[in-house]
Amino acid sequence: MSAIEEASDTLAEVNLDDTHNPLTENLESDPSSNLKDILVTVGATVPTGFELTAADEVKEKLGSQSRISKDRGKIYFEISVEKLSQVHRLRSVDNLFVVVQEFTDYQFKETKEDALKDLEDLAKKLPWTDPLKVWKLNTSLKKRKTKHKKQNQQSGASKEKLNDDGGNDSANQKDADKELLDHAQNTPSLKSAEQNTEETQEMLLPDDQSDGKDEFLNITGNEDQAGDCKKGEAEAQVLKFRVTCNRAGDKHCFTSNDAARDFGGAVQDYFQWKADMTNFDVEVLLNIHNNEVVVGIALTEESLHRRNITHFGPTTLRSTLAYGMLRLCDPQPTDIIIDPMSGTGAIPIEGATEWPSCYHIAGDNNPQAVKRAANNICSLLKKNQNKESGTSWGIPIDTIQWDICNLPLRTNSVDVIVTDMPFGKRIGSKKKNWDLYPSCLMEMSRICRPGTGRAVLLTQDRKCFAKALSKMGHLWQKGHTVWVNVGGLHAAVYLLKRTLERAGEKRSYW
Amino acid sequence: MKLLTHNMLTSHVRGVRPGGGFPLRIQATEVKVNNVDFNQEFVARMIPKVEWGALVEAAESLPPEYENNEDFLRKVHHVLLELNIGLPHLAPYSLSSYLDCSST
Repeated sequence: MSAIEEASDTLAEVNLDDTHNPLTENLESDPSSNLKDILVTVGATVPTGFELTAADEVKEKLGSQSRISKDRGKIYFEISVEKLSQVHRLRSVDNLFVVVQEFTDYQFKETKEDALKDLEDLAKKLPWTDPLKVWKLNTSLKKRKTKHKKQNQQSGASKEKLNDDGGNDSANQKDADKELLDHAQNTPSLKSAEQNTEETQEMLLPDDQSDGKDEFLNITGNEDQAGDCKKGEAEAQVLKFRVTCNRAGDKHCFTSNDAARDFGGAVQDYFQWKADMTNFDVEVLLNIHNNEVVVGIALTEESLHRRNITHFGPTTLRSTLAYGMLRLCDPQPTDIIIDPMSGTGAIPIEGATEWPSCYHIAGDNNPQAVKRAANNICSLLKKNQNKESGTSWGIPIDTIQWDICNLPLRTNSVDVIVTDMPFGKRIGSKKKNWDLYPSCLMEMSRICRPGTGRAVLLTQDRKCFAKALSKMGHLWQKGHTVWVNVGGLHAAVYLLKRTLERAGEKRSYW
Repeated sequence: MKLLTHNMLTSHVRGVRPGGGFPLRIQATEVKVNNVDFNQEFVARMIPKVEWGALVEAAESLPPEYENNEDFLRKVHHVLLELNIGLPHLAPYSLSSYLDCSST
């Protein structure tokens, strides 16, 4: 996660540089070459069921309206390229891609051969230019990041130099982009594959050239680095790619593998890229869902839900799902938010990082889980420490070991309860749930503040939960239910509001 | 464990006297200070949720108009969030033994 965040930080820097160097000559000759003016459609995969929550977040943080795809678990929104770094900071999205083109009603041919031939022809007709620029911007930062790492031993002065060059890099990149655009405009039909290959190379070379310059200017005379540089140049000449096809629907006469192979072949012919399934630079996505076809380029190498957690348990929740659940209960400043069955602490940790003006407590009855949660918090603190150069800043979170049916918490002391309950599959059993659910709902109603308190509970054992809740209608008022897919299991997230009714007082004192 | 957490904890045993098992007596194993960003609003809004009597011996030491008293709120912030009592042993005052309490 930190790598992504750092990358997005760098991205922000680059954008800043862009505003400082307006590159007037470029603007005059060709205003559309300004990267910032490009509008692109970004697609995001989100935990199924939380599309609306994710759309909400996009609206709030980027100001863009999202379209929720019929294909559940995806949203699409339009942004200007300058907001790319912010897109990586979204918390409810798993994977990101830039849309090349979208067909809402694609007519597949009857026979397999014809259908695949159509896909092949499609590769040449798609508007690749802008999406590739976005991909390039996205990737050049990752590359620069690794270069930074390689040259860590160098003196601070030369590091600064490199940063200075960062600005030039983007300037060069712009020149290249401009050329690319010029080419595109001169050859509107975009027939010549060769010319396109040239363009891709041009697009890549300036980066390396400027790096080369950088080496000479520094006169470090470090042979290793010179070697690195050359190697980098050689690598940059031919991009490696793969096509990933996702297909759903029963009216297709081909498999996702067929589609990926033939479409990939066409992409290879068109760009002269090299196919590589594991060590690729570009990942082209081909999503087919009934009559809907979306071609995209991946912007994330691994799902953004991999953050925060370093010590996993058997049922650790995805951070993106945890974020969605927390968002459902609309945390207010100074709310006390607890997860009484926190396991490794995915929910409270996500809460403490995203809602630092609330107070979070993670508790579990398993000592191992509490230890893991504590370790996860420690690694988070350590990561913060690295960033802030030495000083460690605490976060508003604590862990405790307790029994859900007998919580050591004062009555009416908690504002929000967010928890992932045992499904009775990997942890606990359906039979045990019949005892556990009623008594834990009862205990939750005791600690939760009447009138304002709320609970967001995730479970797959819906039958048992509904039964338990029906006996406690006077304490919990059921809000809406979100149906989610948790690792292939059909689960539900229940939003409950605590009524004004006093809970059955087991203890009358505090 | 932060003292804010401690302030919310009570004994889970029914009918413990005195005070129904609250507050729990602390036997700190270590005391650390961890810096936490000061958020005036957070502390001011947290005060009504805290059992003040349990936090300080004299309840009347809560000054009037504390919402705007930054000096005071900074002190409360330090006590609630920055002081860390390690992995304490906790027990109701009526018991002579302590509970083990795993925490950060």
